[in-house]
Amino acid sequence: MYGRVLSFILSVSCLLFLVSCSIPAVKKGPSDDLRQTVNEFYEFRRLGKFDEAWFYERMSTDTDENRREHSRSIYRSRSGAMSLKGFEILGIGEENSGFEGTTPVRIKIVTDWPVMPFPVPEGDRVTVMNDLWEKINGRWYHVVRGMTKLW
Amino acid sequence: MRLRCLFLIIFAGFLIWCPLSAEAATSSIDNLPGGAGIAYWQAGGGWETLINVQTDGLNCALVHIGVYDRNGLNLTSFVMSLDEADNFGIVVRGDGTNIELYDYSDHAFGGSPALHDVNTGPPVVFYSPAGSGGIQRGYMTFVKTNAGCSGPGGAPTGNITGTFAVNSDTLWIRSALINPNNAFALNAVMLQGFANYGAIRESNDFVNTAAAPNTPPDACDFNGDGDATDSFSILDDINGAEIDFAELFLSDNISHADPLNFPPWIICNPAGLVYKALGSSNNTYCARFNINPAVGTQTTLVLVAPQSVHSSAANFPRDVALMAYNDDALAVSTFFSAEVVTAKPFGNIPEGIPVASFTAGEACFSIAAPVFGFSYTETASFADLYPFVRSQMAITTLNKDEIDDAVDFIFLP
Repeated sequence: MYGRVLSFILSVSCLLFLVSCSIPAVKKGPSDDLRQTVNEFYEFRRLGKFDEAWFYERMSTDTDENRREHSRSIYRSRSGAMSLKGFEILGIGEENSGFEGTTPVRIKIVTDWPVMPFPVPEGDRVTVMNDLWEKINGRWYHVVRGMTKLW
Repeated sequence: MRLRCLFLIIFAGFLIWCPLSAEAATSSIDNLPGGAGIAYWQAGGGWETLINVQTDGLNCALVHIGVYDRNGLNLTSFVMSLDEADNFGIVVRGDGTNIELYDYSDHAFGGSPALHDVNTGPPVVFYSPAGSGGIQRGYMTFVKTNAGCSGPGGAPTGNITGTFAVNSDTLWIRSALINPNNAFALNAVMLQGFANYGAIRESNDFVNTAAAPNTPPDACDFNGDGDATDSFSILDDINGAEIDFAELFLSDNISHADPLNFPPWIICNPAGLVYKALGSSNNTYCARFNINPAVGTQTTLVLVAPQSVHSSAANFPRDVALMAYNDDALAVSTFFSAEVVTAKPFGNIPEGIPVASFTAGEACFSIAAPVFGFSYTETASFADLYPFVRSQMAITTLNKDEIDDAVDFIFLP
């Protein structure tokens, strides 16, 4: 009897251990470690966990609640248009040296090509770009670059 | 009511003040094949552009491609070959300073050597720095430059560069603006009945279509300098035919005065009236804007005036007179000088288009140079794109019905 209980406890513990290792723990959000924060953010996006990724976006710090929640709603529904297959941080630029005082993070992103009404290149879309990040109250947030402004 | 009347009076004044302009083509109708076309590109800041060129099921093509930056500077030109019912693509990427060009789906007749596949590279790189918004912009021209398809396997043969020729409408061009979060597909501007000119001389290459029949050539003061004796350099190069500024205007592609005078002719009626094929024939366009701080929307006006830095464009400035009005017909006006490729945000911000306290509405503007473009509205997580509405377009009916009377072109609507 005692052996069966111990065996059961050990089995459950092993199962929990394996499950906790297979998925990233839900983080509390961005931190003061830029590289770690970038990794977490893109891992959430790669896994399609846009609810979690939202908290790494600078727009999540908008103090206007209505505007913030409007953006969040669209973010959740519109993210994933091009599935993120992989990413690699190639380099971290000098703090505040990027566009409009942001910090550039050189990153390689691998996605599908978007579905277009004409032929697109074969294979994956591999993009190397300067991703923009900003430190707010000691934590790093991802900055979305629009055509008109930074969000 | 008074404000509506005031708006109409001011708007009518713009129409009277702005000179009309013309084009070396039969028309430029959206979403139709053409013999030449122009596509906008942007790169850098997370953006890249795909441009895809397609031929119809009956004709090969040797396509001359001109790459221009936001100042209208020609960065390079090259040609690419297409079989019938074929397509090839160009990828434009940037890093804020240089642009990188690649191709894909380039298989016809052994492929073209000018660019390399996007999956293997290397890129062909050109200096093209971004503007104040951090995004690199420009446009590309596409002209079918072969004369026939009598090469091995139906390969393109001949080259119309530097000659007078009229293209058949067998190409269409699509593009996509892509960033990590959005992708926008849109058709390029296509020119139907595109006429290439071996020379553009005010004394030799224009025709007055108000006469019946047309008896070209008729002298035309195209650049508005008070005489009709100028000869303009053409942009055709060793690779192929290019779209000259004067070729953005309506042309007569069929009239013969005598065996020594052959088409095409740029239409230039009395008092120097020429008629745009690219853009609005009455110089007026409208674009939607939305700048609502409550939800964070922002709109940018993107406007392209191809080849407008050429000396022949002197009479067609890029000065913009804009009237922004909200959906209650209240209006505010502004003036600015556009660049060859302009991206200007709406709003009471530095370098913005002032719109008072309006959060949404219609911006109608007038510009003499032939242009195309769109308004781009975005929030932090969403964006959408709308091409300009043209107030009026012109078509050379003579080229289609071959009836030479006193009215050889029409306006729509």
